[in-house]
This record gives sequence, structure tokens and C-alpha cells, in this order.
Amino acid sequence: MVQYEDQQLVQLVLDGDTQAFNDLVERHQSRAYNLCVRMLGDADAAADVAQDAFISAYKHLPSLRGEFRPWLMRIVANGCRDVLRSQKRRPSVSLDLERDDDDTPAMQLADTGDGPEAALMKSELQKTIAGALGAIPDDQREVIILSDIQGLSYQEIADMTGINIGTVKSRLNRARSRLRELLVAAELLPRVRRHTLESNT
Amino acid sequence: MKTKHTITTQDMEQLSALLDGELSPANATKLRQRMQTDAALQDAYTELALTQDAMRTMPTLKPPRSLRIDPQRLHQARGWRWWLISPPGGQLFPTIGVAMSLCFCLLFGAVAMQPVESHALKGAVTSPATEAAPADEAALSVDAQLIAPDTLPLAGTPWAWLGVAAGAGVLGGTARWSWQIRGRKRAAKR
Repeated sequence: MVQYEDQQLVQLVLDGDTQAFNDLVERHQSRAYNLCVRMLGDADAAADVAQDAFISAYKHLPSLRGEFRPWLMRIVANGCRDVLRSQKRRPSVSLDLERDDDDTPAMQLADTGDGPEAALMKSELQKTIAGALGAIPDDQREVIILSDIQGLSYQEIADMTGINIGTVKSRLNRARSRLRELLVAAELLPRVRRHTLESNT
Repeated sequence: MKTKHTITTQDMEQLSALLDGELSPANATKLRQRMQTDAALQDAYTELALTQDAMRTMPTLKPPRSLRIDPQRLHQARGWRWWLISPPGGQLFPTIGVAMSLCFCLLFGAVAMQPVESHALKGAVTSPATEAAPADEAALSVDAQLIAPDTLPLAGTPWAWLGVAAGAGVLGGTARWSWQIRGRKRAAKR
């Protein structure tokens, strides 16, 4: 099967091929959904926001300048911000995704092949991080997700969020410092450190 | 021997940037030198690195459902735009768009340049005159001479020229759009 580049698929969509747009959706849905789910902490709301972002992208595709992926992620991030803003006006929802009573397939963690102790520690760490992400302000959470989970550079984050690099740096630092404090308080970092040292020797 | 100093917010910001490889080489060297003698700085760096590592190992979650969109919904999302009419293959789409805009513009132009004589104004002046009293007849004919001599076109009428301007605007917009699409097609081929 022929693998098209994003730009070629965009052109096909502009020529009226809706199937090509769904190929773009397939390609980017995981990244878009993960940004939403980490930002919002609700699997169903995240899927809705991601899908709405794709529809919005389709609508505004003729105005696309440059690459598709960063443009799409900007739409997704804007969608998440809108939802968070509206949530602030109403009672908030929990951002603790990997909570114990959650048994939906989307929340199941992949088997990493680590030993039982390491797997347990990793799972505990991920639960704590997911919970801690919900405890930091929206603007800081957005930046740390884009940097550490989505792997974007400072410049890409600045372009996507419309803030300058200095602000990206300070928000990222505040978010990491807050997470670090929470992990230290939960006594997870010393164990991670010991585990890392043991696996290195 | 390593000593422990208080870490400032600026230090933390620099450590965070060092971790991401976003610190300038000169600043990175300076910070690494400080880390060799400052245990607190070294510890903070290690903890930040572990925090970042923990974030990076967060699992990729699968959407609870496919996010594919029904083509019908996509069509509704974009709405119907006459200038997007295209035959299968889309080769004629810019041509059709520009041609339709040109027709639109010419139609308004023709209406705008139409002499008054052929419009309702003439009738409006003559038909009431047949029913009017003889005293009014002279006044009406004077008015008709003032506002509508045979050679005066509607060219000065604001509505007509607004139509021409709208037609020209649509023509320009469609031509620009077509040009952009041609550019994108050329770029995609490259």
C-alpha cells in the first residue's frame, strides 16, 4: 500500500477525497488523544475534544500554511484550553487517570516486561504523576505535557501555545519542580533513584 | 569536596533547560562546573532528570474509540461552497470557480451600466402622469427631465456599483484561492 506524506494527503483532501482525511485522522489520533487525555484527565471528554479538533481541522484545511501536524496539535491544544476554561465555570473533574478502580481498556497499562517489583513501582509512579499533573495549573501542565510526553522543543511549544520561549522555560521549570516535590513527598524518587542505580550496576 | 548551597529559581530554570539541551554551550559548561562542587545542585539535577524520565515513560493511551469521522459529517462540517464545485479529479475546479465569478461580475456590471430608459423609472414617470391632474402633468415632466434624461445610466447609483464591487471581490478572492491551490499542487508534486 502506498504511504502518503501528510502534505500529499492534505492535497488529496483539498481535492475532495474525504477518505484521505480519515487517513490523516488514523495517523495523528493517538498523539491528539494523548494530549487531550493528559490535559483533561477524562477519556471520553478527551476523545470528543480530539474528534472535534479533527473536524475543525477539516473545516479550516484550506487555510493551512506549513506543516499539518503542528497546526493540528495547536487546534487540539486550543480545544483542550476551551474545555478547561468552561470546566472552571462548573465543578471540576478528577485528573487522576490511572486510579485503582479504573478498569476501562483505554486505561490499561502496557506490559513492559519488567519484574513484578519494578512493574509495581512504575505503575505507582505513573499513578502519582497522573494525579500530580492534575494538581498543577493548566498552563504549566500544558507545557510539561508538550515537552516531556509529546517531546516538543521549546520553540515548537512557543509556536504552538503563542507564548515566548522565556515563558515556556519558566512554566516548564515550575511544573517540573512541583512534580519533583510531589514525587519526593510520596517517597517515589529515592526508590526510582535506587532502582536506576541498581540497574546500572 | 562538595558543599550544599541554596538553589534559586534561576538555578532550577537553568537545570531544567540543561536537561532539555536548551542551554547555550557556555552556560551549560558553567552550570556543569558548579554541579561538580555543589551537591544540592547535583541532587536537584538528578531528581529533575528522574522526574522527566518518569514522565517520558508514561504509557501511550489508546482512544476509547476510533476517531475516524463519517464522510457525511465532514461534508456537513465544511458546508456547500459553489466555488468548490469540481469534476472528479478536480482538474477544472479553479477554472470553473473563476469563470462563475467572472459571470457574476459581468452580470452586475451590465446591470450597473444599463441606461435608465429601459428600466422601470421611465414607466414610473409616465404611468402616474396618465392619471394625474393636468396641473400636475407639467410638474411631473419637469421632474422626469431633471432626474432621468435618456442618456443617464445607473452608473452613479451606489447599489449598482456595490454590486460591481462585490462581483470583483468574489472574482479576486476566487482567483487568489485558485492560485494558492495551484501552488500547493505544484509543491505536492515536488
